[in-house]
Amino acid sequence: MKIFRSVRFNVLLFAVLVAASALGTLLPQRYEVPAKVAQFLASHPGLGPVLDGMGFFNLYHSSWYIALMGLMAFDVIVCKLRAFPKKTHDEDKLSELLIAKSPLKRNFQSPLPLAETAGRIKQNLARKGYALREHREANEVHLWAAKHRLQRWGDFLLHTSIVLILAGALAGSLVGFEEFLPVLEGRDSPMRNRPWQVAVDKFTVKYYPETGTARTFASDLRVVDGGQPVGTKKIVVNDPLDIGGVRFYQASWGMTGMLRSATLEFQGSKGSKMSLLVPTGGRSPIPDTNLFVSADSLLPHFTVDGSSRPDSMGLEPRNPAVLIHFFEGEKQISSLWLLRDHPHIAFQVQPDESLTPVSRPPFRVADFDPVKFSGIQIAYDPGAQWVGYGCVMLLAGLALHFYFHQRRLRLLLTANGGGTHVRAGGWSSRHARDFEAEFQRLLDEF
Amino acid sequence: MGMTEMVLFNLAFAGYTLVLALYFAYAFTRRESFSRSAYRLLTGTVALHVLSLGARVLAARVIPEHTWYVPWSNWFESFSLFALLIALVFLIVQARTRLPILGVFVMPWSWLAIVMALSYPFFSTPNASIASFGGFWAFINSAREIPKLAPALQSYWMAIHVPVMFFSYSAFANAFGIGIAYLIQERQIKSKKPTELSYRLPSLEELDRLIYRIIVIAFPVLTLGIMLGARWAYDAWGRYWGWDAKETWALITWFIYLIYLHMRLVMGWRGRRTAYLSLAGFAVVIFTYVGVNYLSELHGFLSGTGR
Repeated sequence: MKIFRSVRFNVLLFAVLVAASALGTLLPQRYEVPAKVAQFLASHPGLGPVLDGMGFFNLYHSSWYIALMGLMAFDVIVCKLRAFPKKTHDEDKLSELLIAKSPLKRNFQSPLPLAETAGRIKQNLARKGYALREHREANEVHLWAAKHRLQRWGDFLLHTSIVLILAGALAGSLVGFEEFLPVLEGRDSPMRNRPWQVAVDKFTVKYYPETGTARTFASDLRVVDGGQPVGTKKIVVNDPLDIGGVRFYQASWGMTGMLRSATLEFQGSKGSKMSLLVPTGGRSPIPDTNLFVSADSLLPHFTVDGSSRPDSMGLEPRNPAVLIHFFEGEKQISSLWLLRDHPHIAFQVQPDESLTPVSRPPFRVADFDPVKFSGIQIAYDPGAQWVGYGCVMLLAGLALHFYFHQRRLRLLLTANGGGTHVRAGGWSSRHARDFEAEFQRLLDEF
Repeated sequence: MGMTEMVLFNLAFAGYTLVLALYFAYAFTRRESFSRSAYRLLTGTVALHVLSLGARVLAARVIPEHTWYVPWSNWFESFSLFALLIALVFLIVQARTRLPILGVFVMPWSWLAIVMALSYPFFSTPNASIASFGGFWAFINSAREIPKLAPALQSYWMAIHVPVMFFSYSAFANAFGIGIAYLIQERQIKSKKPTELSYRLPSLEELDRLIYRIIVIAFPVLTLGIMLGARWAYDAWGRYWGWDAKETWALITWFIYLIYLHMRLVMGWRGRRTAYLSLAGFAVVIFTYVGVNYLSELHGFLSGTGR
């Protein structure tokens, strides 16, 4: 047990936690970027599986990392929580020897008689917020004065709080849950961890003018349990819905790749600009021709991958492209990817699905109505409030320990002729030098 | 960016540069008038810098869509705040210690932070070709555009969490500068021929205690900042702690200073070893602030969505 109380051991434990935590940010983590983990394993066939076996790709949730945290909590318990901080008991009497042992000491002679000197000193100390205790003898007055005695609780509080925070985190990981639920606008989806349906009645996204950057997005959320609504709220980022501790967050959004309709523009036979609304699920005739057109799918952030296939770099409309098909009667004669923001470029889909660029395409996408999904993050963490209490305790402990300054004075006043001989000793929770100036100033005032 | 804000910021930049020059002039000439001028000019520069932040808030009204905006939301703004707070903490240290020589060791970090504020385009578009001075000026000033904030950043937590974190970082920057002063002074004392600088610097014990006093104030502030961030994450992302690279490195910073405090308070370490620990702590602070941008998806100015 002695080793767990050793400061060296605990500092070593902190250093190991530092090294392990740093390593977790340098290696890809499965919960964050699973594709990069797979890539690492493929490119390091020797080292990769060894690291994986040791939990390095899920480092912060690995048994050994949790054990290190548990060990830290255990050490705090055996080091600090064996007993409440002891109140310093003043001696029954003061002596010259006791005062001589104080880190700060000073003697002086007062011309005033004993009772008056004691009265003035007590008055001065009380005015400065010192709590006083007094013992009187025939020719002596013994005074004990203390200020900010609560400071002694700081160390205890801040160490206790670490245990509370780690216990809260453990409770949260054992009993709580997290799940991500993408819900199509106007639809609902079932949760995995509760028998509830989560419906997004309406999803709104607003952009900064002339950009594809979203400035806000929101879901009109309705949570239903057995046909009965248990909670509704318009959730936005930073403002979740809370149903009995289960919190629903507006985490993300994106385009599903589906459309309701697309609006195409093209030059008509008489040279005028024409507009054609193409609803999905059918073919629309192109005026003045015997051709038909359909618009079926969408890529929000269009790019062409290494094998000349279409791909999307993300789910937000940074470079949206719509796939349109042309028909002559029943026969599909051509397919084009049209880029909304780059109307002079298009890509024709070849029979082998590869793309070839087409300059000056005859159509451009003026607008489209995408089917969006709202990414709802759902979390239940019954340990969070204990972590919160732990944080408050930690701050209170740190503030008491470092910002408050416990001071203790011992004063032995002895009648000496017509005056009084004063022997003063001082102690402070800080370095003696930090208290020295104040100690000397106090005595000067006496 | 607004013209008033631009002028105020440029004046503050010039002010920091001049303050730095004055502190170095003081170190080399021992003329007290330089140190007095540096202190007064620094006070004025800090005031100008605060005014420039206020002007930036007004200038940010060009983007009326913001529901919340504070002038420390991107690379330029956060480095600008960092520079301001390093200078502000140094003013407090100066007022308490009356040791102007420390300006030589602390104020370069404030000045460097201002330079870093303007450096964003070099990091975001490292291959940009610049043909003329006008092009260079426009390139530099592109860092100063009012950012279009992602929804998560439009929060009152931004107004609380970020300055608290930066206050602690700035105090650690001061402790770092004084730590360097400690190591130089130690070397000077050990050498047979101490220079003038050695006579200007206070005793090793005084420097050691000053570093400790700064860290002891900054450590609870860092703790508060991390907790406020966790509270914000609880509202924004559905968890108070997600082992994002920024969060993890903030925790590592916390552990480094925790080791410092344990070694000093319990093991009785003093002097060079604790000075090295405080230097290591600030190196981790800088990595948490800048380096992690390349690792974090959530907090990254450069790699992620935090820009």
